Amino acid sequence: MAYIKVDNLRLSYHVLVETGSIRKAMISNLLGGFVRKKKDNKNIVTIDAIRGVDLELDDGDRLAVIGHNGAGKTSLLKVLASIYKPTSGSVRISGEVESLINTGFGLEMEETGRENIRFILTLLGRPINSIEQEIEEISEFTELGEFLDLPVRTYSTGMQTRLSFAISTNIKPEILLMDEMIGAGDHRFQEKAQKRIEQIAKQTKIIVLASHAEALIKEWCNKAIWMEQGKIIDVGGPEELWASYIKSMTS
Amino acid sequence: MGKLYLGVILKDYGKRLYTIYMKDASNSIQKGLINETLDFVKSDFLPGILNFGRWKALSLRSLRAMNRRAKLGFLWVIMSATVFVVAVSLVYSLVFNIDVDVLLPYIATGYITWALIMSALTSMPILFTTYAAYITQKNLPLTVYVTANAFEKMVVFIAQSLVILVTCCVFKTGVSLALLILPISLTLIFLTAIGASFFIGVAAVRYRDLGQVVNSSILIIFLLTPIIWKPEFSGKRALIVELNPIYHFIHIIRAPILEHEIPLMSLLVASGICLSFFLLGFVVMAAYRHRIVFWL
Repeated sequence: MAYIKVDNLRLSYHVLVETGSIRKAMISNLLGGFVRKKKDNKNIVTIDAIRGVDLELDDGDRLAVIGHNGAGKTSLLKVLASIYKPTSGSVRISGEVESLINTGFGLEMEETGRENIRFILTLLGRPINSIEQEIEEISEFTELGEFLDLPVRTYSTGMQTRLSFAISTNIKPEILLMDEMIGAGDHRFQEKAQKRIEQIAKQTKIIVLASHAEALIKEWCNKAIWMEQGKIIDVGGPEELWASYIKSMTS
Repeated sequence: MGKLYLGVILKDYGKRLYTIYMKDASNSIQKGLINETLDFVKSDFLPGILNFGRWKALSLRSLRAMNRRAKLGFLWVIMSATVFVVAVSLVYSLVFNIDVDVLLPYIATGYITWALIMSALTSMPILFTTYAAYITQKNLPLTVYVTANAFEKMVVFIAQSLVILVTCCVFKTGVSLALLILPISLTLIFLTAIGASFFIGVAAVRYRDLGQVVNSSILIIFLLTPIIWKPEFSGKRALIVELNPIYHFIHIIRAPILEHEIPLMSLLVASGICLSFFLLGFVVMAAYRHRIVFWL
């Protein structure tokens, strides 16, 4: 059984407005504590990306996260993917997590498609004895044929997307985190990609989807949260929540 | 300037470590520094360094990228070292009237070891930014990147040591049992590079100027270290050689090859430095590793 339990999650981080702050740090170091404090406040901006989020998901839950840009949707996904560590609060996850936050992971333009596939699978720690077979599966899915033995820099944008889509979606997770829908090449490939995502979604126990695509949310999800400024401001069914989200924007 | 700079970093580190040690008020899971360090070793360092396949793949990728479209490709790595060693030796033997057969093996061993230390040192400040695209997208142990970087430098060194091998054969520097110490010396350099990368890498991703400090001091360190000159030249000022940590790291490679002796003192100093870097690096990683992703 897979679950996600998030309790009073907060995420804040410091952004250095002036990266060369060493000069000021040095001056303030010479001048002592008083100035330092003041300078510190000026140079370091704290961003409160998530401000107290509670969440409980179990098998079969398909959660849509809606909200404006900068509402904290991607930050929430990155915390769930353990890329960001919570500042406070607890996150308990049971089940294998895969994230499709950014599909362009690990592509090197100078290497061939096949070299890229092998590299990314190795880096992600796939078992050695199944890698060869997986490379075959992925190669076949891309339909790139002989291009797979050419450097990726010779690919068109659409071909690159196909390659990275095929690599990043060759997964069978228990928990799937998705940020928007991933585009994938021309019309025919798009359909194929859509099918593949649906296939994964069917086998996945929990999905968290941050999206602005109405159709996707309504078709896929059975729960929804609405985030604004790092907080959940409303919870409900995807259809009704989407309606009130749209209403809030037009009014 | 450098001293003051180090002061700022140490002060910042100190403050952070103090707050962790005194239980960080903003952290609900309140752990002491020791627990944090153990947690780093358990969840990042060991899984990172023991997963050979991962860091090997990463370093092979950067090695393949070296001079990729040049006709001679990776061979350039060896060629450039050869050119430098031969040129410096010839100039020196002409200007100072020193025998080439003594000078060339000396400069070959010293310079190629120096090239390893220099490339490791200058890569440390940009280590995490180099791998930013990976770090911000997947939660792999950070040790994977650190180890990959150090391993990459070691492979380049091993390729370049062909020059050492050839010069030593040509000028007949001889063979002895002392050569058996070389794998230990190399391992020591490899480990020190990993330990130092933790410490310097974290500091430099927070204080970007540190990279420039390292880059601009590299030439001074090169001149102060007996690489193209012999320790005997320093005469009464031999202390600047003995106190130079880089000298000991070069000596543990050079002494077994040229002097056929096991440099116990230098091995001891190098081990001490390695250990200190590991301790410092572990503590700093324990305190800061979750912040690196926001600093990139």
